Amino acid sequence: MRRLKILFIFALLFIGIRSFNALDTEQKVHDYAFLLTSEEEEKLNELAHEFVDEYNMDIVMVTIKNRDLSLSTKEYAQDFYDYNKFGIGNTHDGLILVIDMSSDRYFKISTTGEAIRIYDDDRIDSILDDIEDQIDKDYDAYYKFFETFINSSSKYAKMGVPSSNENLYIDKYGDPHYRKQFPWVGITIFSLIISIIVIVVLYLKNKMVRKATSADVYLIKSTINITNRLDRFLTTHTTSVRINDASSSSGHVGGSSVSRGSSGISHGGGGRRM
Amino acid sequence: MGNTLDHKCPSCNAVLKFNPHGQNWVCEYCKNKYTIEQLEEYEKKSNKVLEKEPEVKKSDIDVYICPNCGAQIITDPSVSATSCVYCKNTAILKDKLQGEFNPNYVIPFKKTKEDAIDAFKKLGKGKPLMPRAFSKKENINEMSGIYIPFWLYDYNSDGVVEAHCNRITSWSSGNYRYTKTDTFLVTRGGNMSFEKIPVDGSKRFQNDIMNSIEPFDYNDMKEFNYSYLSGFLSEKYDITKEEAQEDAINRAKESFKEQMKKDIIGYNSTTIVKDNINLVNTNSSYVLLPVWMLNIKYKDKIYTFAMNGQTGKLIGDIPIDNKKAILIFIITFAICFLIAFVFMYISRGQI
Repeated sequence: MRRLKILFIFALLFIGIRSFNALDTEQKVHDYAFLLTSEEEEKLNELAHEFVDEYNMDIVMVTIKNRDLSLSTKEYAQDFYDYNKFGIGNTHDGLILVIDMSSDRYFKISTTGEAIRIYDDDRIDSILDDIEDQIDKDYDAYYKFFETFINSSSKYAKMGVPSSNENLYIDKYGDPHYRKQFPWVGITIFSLIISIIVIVVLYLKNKMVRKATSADVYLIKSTINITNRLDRFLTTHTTSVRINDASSSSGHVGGSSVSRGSSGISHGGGGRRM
Repeated sequence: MGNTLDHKCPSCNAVLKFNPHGQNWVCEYCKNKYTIEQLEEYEKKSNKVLEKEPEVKKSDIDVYICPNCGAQIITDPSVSATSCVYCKNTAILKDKLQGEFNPNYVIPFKKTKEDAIDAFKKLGKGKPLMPRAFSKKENINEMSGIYIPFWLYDYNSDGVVEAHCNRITSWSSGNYRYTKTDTFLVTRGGNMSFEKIPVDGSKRFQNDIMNSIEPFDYNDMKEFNYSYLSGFLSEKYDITKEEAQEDAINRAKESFKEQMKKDIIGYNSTTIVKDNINLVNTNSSYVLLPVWMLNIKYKDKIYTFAMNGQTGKLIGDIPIDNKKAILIFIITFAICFLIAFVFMYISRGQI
């Protein structure tokens, strides 16, 4: 029976992550690596629902044993979340923790929608630290990892949006945008420059006496005769400047690192090796 | 004592003044009008002072007898037409305009004293920094219509100009943006002619002011005749043709370089590094050009203004009203700030 289950998961993973959609999104814990007892699973699911009710953000926990090697843990986490349609509201607010037990062991948090705002890089690091501490304490206490994850996430959700992301906002497609500081200084400098130009122009209107330096008015245009034209090459030099690569799909918005998953939805987050 | 001259009306013998608007002579008393031809004929007939060469040597005699009232007129050695302080009659000091001082041409006044006053009153137009009280008629301390001596130079020029020119191309490859600057040595040679570059021949008038009222329309230039001077003041040159020439040469050379530079095309920047221009003075003439000089007294300071007596171009440095300047600065700043603020506010709202 157990073997069958493994086979089924194997098949599922091989068929493609994109066929996840049969999952029940009310079930927040998906233990494909069989690290939890069913009681633990149920308890975590309850905690998760409390979190969802309290903060109006989804929280999902997944363990996997064998991963499609064409995907990184990060991509797996993003795709699992996106294609199974987790998340609250139009912007799919929420976060997911994936513990990857395949040959390279990773644990990875991915945030979506409003969660990108709430969990900036510093907070993600802090949550990962908390989980890592727990792993150091007891390597096999998987339940504890998830409990720490929920508690730590709750702590920050309660604190609200960090100052680093105050000017970040999530548009209707779930993409984060950084709202720059209102450019008071720029406006002031712009206005100063224009005012100075206006005053200088008006000042020059009052200074009408000018020494004449050319005799263009007295030049007889029809007598201009150019007899000799020679252009000789002298030297050349080339300079180069590095351009910032702006075309990459990952980047930094406000205090959060953001990348776009295969579904086209933006995610924040971070992860570590176990 | 030198000879003075003015024009008497052939009909009533009253003083006859030049009328800039009609370009003729009108007697203020009998209202008769005369053209230059009529006056010349009359003067020939009357065989007056004009005909005989005065035996007075060129000297610095500065005392003249007013032909109208007999009073003594004392003037600067450079003055060639003045007015009697007692009877206000014009006195043309004829011997000062003879021999080498005999002008070749004259451009008669076209603008009257009233035109000059009107132009001064309208000075504030388009100049918001001018103190409002500056252009009041009462501030005109002194004004006079003066024929100012000018030298006019004709030149044939030829020469060569050398310039360093840069052609800049840029492209990107990989993560780098490249900028390539090619430098060329560009040579242009040629020739051109200049006609009647004017240089003020009187030390009394500032060169830059005289530059600023240019240009005069030489189409109105007439053979010199004393008659045009009646009613106006006049000066004789005290800067010789050779001394004055330098300004004209510099201006011609500058224009020559500009013309050559205009022919250099296809570069992003052009810097002239060497030039060798030869000018040949093909002709020069001594002319009297009409200028209204205005001395403006404003807040105990004297400002000199000059109006081109032919075209009406009035120039001079106008004082700045600091209060107005600060006010305009603040208003401009506030308007710009508001526009920029609204613009930024709206554009951010659209994200």
